[in-house]
Amino acid sequence: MKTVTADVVIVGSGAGGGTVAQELTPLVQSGKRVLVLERGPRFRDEEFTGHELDMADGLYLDGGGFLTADGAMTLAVGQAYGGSTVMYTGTSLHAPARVIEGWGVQGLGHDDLVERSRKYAEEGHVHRLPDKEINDNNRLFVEGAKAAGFTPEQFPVNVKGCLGSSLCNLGCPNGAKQGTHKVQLPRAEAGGVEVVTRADVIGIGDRELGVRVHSRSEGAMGSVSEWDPGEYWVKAEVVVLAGGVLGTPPLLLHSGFGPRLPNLGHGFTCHPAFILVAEHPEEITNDVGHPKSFFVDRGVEEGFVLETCMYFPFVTAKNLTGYGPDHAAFMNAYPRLQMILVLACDKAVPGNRVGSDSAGNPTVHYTFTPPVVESLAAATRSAARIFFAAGALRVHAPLADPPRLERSEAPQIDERIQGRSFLPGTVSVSAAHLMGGAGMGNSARDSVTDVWGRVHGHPWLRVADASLFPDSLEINPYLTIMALADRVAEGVLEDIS
Amino acid sequence: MNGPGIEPVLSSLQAPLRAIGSVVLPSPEALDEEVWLEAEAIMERALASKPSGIKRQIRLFLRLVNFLPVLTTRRTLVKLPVERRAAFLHRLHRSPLMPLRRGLWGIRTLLFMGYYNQEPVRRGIGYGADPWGWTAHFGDQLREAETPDSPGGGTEEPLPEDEEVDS
Repeated sequence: MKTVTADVVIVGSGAGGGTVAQELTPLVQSGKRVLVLERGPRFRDEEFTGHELDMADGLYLDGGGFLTADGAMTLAVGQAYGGSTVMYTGTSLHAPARVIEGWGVQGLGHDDLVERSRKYAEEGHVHRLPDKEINDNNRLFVEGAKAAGFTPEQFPVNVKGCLGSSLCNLGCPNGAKQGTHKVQLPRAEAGGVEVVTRADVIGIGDRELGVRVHSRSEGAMGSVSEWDPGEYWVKAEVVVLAGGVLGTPPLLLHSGFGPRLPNLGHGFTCHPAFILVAEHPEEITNDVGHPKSFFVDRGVEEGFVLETCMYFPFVTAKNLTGYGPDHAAFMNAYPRLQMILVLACDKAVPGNRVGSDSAGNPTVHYTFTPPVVESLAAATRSAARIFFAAGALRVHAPLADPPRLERSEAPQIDERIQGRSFLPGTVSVSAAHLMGGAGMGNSARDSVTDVWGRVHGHPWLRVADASLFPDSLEINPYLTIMALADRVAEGVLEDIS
Repeated sequence: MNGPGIEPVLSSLQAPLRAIGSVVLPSPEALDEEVWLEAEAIMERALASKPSGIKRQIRLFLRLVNFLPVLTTRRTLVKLPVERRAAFLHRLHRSPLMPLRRGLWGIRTLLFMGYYNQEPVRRGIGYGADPWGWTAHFGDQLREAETPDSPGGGTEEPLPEDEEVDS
């Protein structure tokens, strides 16, 4: 086993790890060694083909099919140089003040987070797309939402030179999305930070990590690792964990930190979501243009958010409830489909947690609470109203039984769409906003880290990803993760200097 | 169908898999042998990297689902007419037992993966996403309007400094 020594090791290269890497570049210039260990591979620009099966296999944990322990929900997590910032849609929102205040973490101010978020919004070229780049799928959402009495808002997105491929969730084929793979990591590497891909951290001890570097299997996508395949012992004065919710808490648990940190793994939330589709009489532009440009936020009032979306054939087929002729009829209407993603603003509850199996693989235990099911039902009713107000002929609503609602049935939306129709294992629920498991707080009694991401009782160890969230953020977490990571980097700089 | 060293998961269970597919997938007339073989190749490829426990569960579930109708009809799923297969699978889909619902959901997902990842099927339903996006959709007129700095021909403006991006 080879031994490598560094001053700082960052585990993970997504929104958290990429940010910390960039912010620690000054350390390299003062002679320190900063390493980033990323489990996924580094993709070449030309490898982002937009081919659904290949990209899902290459970019996502378990090919996008990671399931919760009971199999009732799929979790989407990126595994690449740049983490999930490579394959998300680029939506970039500031944390709501009410949520940050509700977390009740002393020393964590909303103003501070927003100020830090602004810096990364600017770096990522975050802006709202001009009207002429908005496709019909998004335009109909806005029109329908207004007609149904909602207030649609436009997402700011971190794209530069977007061609409107609609393939964001498979990695942008045009390099337009300004994730950490395009902005922070290249800057860090240019400044001397070393990034090692295909490097799987398998255990943590006191200021040391066991690392397994994998070879590239034949025919696999992505570049070979920067290090030779094999096992390494990496020693560092400071370790920053930024492997995400399915990376950081499971790694800590597998490494034996659990007994000293009773809250480790707890506080998991994820914005459970599913899609609704509606069929229009005429073809619309839906598989061209940015897929996620607008949303309706009903988080405060009803515990849900509606977002525009457009998925690829297999993901769409998988996410529609049921099968057979009705299912096929919607699929065959693909060029006439409008799509809405409904997300529930779930809350951290006892029992919903992330863990680790005996081999160190992540496990997630999640139960849909009655408030979450009711939020999903209310969201489904609202989405159905928006579709019909936009002129749809029929709607596929997962919480209606049967799921197909004709336009003539629009007045019966309230009675047809009910939470009691929610039967786990029949409705395709998925989540991509994984949060919690190493929450920050005021002491080891209520949390895993302090307000600067330092693990209680282990001053050399910090967390800089969404597992820091003590509860749901209720919006896309990208900018907030970067803001928190910026704080962590500031703390590391103070420690080292 | 499989690369060297890949142990097939579904080959010995082709009949029950196709019996479920005949109900789950679009019209049987669209499912000729070529489509089936390609679907099975895609499914095998996806399963190749899965843990052996998952592969065992899939095999076990397919055997179980094929056998279960014997208890009430004295026929396996494969031997049932399509209408009765559909009725049986509908009961499974709404079963009070989560493992049965979850198992059917998993097989259904695999079948959709095998079917909707075939290029002719994707074209057939009208899916036309292209890496060139708007340019591919509207053709050369948009391409001509591009500038080197803004390949999409867009007029992207960063948010004004005082404009919030709060949710």
